[in-house]
Amino acid sequence: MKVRQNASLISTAAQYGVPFAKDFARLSIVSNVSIAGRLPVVDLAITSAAKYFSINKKQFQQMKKLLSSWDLGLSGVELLEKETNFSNGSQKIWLPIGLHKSNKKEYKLLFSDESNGTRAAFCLLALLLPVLEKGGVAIIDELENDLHPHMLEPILDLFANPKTNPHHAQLLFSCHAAEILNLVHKSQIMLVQKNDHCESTACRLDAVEGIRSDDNFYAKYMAGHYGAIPNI
Amino acid sequence: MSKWKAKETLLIVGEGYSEVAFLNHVKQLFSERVDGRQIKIKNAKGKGAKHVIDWTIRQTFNADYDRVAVVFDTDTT
Repeated sequence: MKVRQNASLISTAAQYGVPFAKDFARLSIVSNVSIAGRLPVVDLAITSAAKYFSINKKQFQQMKKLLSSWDLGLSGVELLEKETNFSNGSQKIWLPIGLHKSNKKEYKLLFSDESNGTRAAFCLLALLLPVLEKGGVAIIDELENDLHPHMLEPILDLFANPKTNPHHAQLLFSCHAAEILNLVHKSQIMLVQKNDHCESTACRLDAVEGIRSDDNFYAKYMAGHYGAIPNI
Repeated sequence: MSKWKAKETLLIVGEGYSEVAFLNHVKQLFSERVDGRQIKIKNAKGKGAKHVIDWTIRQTFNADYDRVAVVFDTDTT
C-alpha cells in the first residue's frame, strides 16, 4: 500500500474506511474563510456573533471575561435585544454594547462604534470559544487582523492551556505578525511563498535547509534568510 | 501634546502556569509601587529548564527589555 509520507496514521486509516479512524477524522471545523475568501468583520458578522452569545450563556461570560482582560478598555459587554423590520417581516436581532469605565463613571458604546480591534476580537471569540469547549479545529485566516500583535499570545494561550482547551482543540491560522516565529516551536510554522511562475509552495520552518535551532527566527526571517518575504 | 517618559522594562518568564499565576499575583500587589516600569510576564510552558531558558532568550530577540528574569523549579535539567 502506497501512502503519502506526510499523512498521519489516523488520516490514512480514515481514507481507507477504518471506522474507528473515521470517527477521529470527523472533527468539528470552524473557519472565518468561505469559498469567497475571508469573511469580513461587518455588522452582519457582529450581530450573528451576538446572537450566538445570546444563546450560549457560558461562552458569553467567558467572552466578557477575556475581552475585559485584553486591555481593550472594556469593563464588560451587554447584549441588547431589538426587533428590526426586514423586507420579509420583523426579526429579533442582538446588538452588542461595550461597557467602559472612566473615573468611576460607566459609558456604553454600541459595537458599531467600537474600534475595529474590539469588533474583530468579539467575532473571533464567537468562532474560537465553541471549538475550545467541544474540541475540533479552528481555521482562521489572518488571525491578528485589526489586533495588536501582542494579542496573539493570549489567543494562542487559550489553545495551549489545558484548562481552557480540555478537548485538545487545534488552531490553524495564517498571519503576518512575524514575531510569532520566536513564540511557537519552529515545527509549528509553515512558510508560504510564490515562485517566479506565480506558483505557491510551502515549507515547514524546521525543514528549511540551513536553519539552526539557536537562530533568531524573527530577525533571520525579516532579513529574508528563509524566503517567504515579498520581493520589493 | 502630553509629555511621556520612557519606561524601564522588565520581562519575567515563568516556567509554567503556576509560576505565571504567582508572578501575576505579585505584579498586581506591587503594580502601584512600580509605576514607571513596564512589566511583562510570560509563560514558557515547561519542557525542562533548558527549554525555559532558551525560550526566554528567544523572547529577548523580539523585544529589547532592560531586565530579564526567569522563574523555574530546580527539579529539571
